[in-house]
Amino acid sequence: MDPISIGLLLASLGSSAAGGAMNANASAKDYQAKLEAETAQAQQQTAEAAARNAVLGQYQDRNKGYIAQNQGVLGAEIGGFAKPAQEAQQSALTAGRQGAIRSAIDAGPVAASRLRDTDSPAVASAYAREMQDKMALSRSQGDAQGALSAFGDNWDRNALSVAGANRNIGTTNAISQNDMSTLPAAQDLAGFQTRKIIKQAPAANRTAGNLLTGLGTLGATVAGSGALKGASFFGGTAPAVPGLSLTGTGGLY
Amino acid sequence: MSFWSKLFDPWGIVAPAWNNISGNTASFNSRQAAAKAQQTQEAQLAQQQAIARQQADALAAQQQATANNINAGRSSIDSAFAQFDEPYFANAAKSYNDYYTPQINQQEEMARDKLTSQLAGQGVLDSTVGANRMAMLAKSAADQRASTANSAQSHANSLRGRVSSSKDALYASNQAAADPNATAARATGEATTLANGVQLSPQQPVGDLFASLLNPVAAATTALGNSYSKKTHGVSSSAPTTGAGSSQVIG
Repeated sequence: MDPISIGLLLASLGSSAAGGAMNANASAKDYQAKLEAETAQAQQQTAEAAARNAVLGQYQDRNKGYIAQNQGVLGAEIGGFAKPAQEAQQSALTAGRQGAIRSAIDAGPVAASRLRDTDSPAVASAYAREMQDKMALSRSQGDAQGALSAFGDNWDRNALSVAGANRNIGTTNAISQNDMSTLPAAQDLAGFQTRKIIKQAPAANRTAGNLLTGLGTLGATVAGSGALKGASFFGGTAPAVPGLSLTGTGGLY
Repeated sequence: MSFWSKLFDPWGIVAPAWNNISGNTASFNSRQAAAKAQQTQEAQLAQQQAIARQQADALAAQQQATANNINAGRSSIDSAFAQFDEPYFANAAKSYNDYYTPQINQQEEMARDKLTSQLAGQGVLDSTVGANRMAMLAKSAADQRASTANSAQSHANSLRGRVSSSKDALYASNQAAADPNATAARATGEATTLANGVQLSPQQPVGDLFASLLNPVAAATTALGNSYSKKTHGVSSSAPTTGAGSSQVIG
């Protein structure tokens, strides 16, 4: 093989090696850029999740307040159904009913009966006794009626109390539900505040590397083909290297 | 242009050519375009984020306003219905009593006069029988007044239920509307209707309360009268002629 071919071959190898190294460097840059982009995207997703969770936390804190408010109302309502409270209410309502009934019984017009002014002590006595007995019976019946009706009163009051608690709890729930209905939008808006434009690095330039690799391949092909055998760059025939031939016999092979 | 560039490329041909061949120019242009596009995108994003902040603020303000409206509506309902307190219901019961009790008392007076007349007609007024009948009349009247007083309490309770139902409806509307002005207007209207339109004393007068007590006495008196009449016409009768002695009312 002539020295020119050998020189070209060596140059081609160098060119291919340089081109390969440049392309490898470009691939490394691309990979690094890809990793950086993925990292930036992951950081953004983390920041967005944190922002959304912060909003969720605010809503949960407010909701805890609503829950505490409703628990207070419910607790007071349930407390009203404790046995002592119910007994006290029943007793008060019974006393109220019986008091109203007794007042009505005793508020009748004064009996202007002649019997009150009778000349007969026996009749007067009988009249007084009859009146006492009959009115005592009326009061007794009135007390029984009051005690019976007070049970209805008690449950009327209980129902009204429950209705009042329901109104208050319902109102708090309405506020809470209105609040919660804005959560998705608030989270979206908070998450959007964390958005950043992630820089997309262009693919590394491989033109020079490919060019050098291509030249190396071309040079090696030309050198190996023996096309330059006998060629002269300086006016004479290139000297052959004894015992070195890539194509002829008796060479390196 | 650097010193080396002037030295080796005085006409500025090689470097651009190399840049074109190697793609450096395209890469540079691409980076410039990417940087410009990124600046534009970042400006757009900043603008969108500013709008988003405004929307978030508006959302929070709207949420708070709704809560305030519901609370204000509730306050206006409670304020309008504060008039329906215990004295109000006590007055409702009293109105019921005031409507019915005088009727009972009047009927009792009339019944007493009638009973007195009937017992006198039988000659048993000034007797234990008369005392018994008068006491029964007094008890019957007392029972009627007791029943009326009991019904008056029930009437007040039914009003409590109507007030509560109205409040329920207004609270539900308030929660749905979250409009304190509309709620206040409705609450006032509803409360006024309840206060003025509710029939505190049903316009149903009491019937004849003591008929059952007086009818037997009347029947006995009629029978007694017939007995006298028959005797006058010579018909034998065992009825007493003087009214003396013990008598008994059948009934």
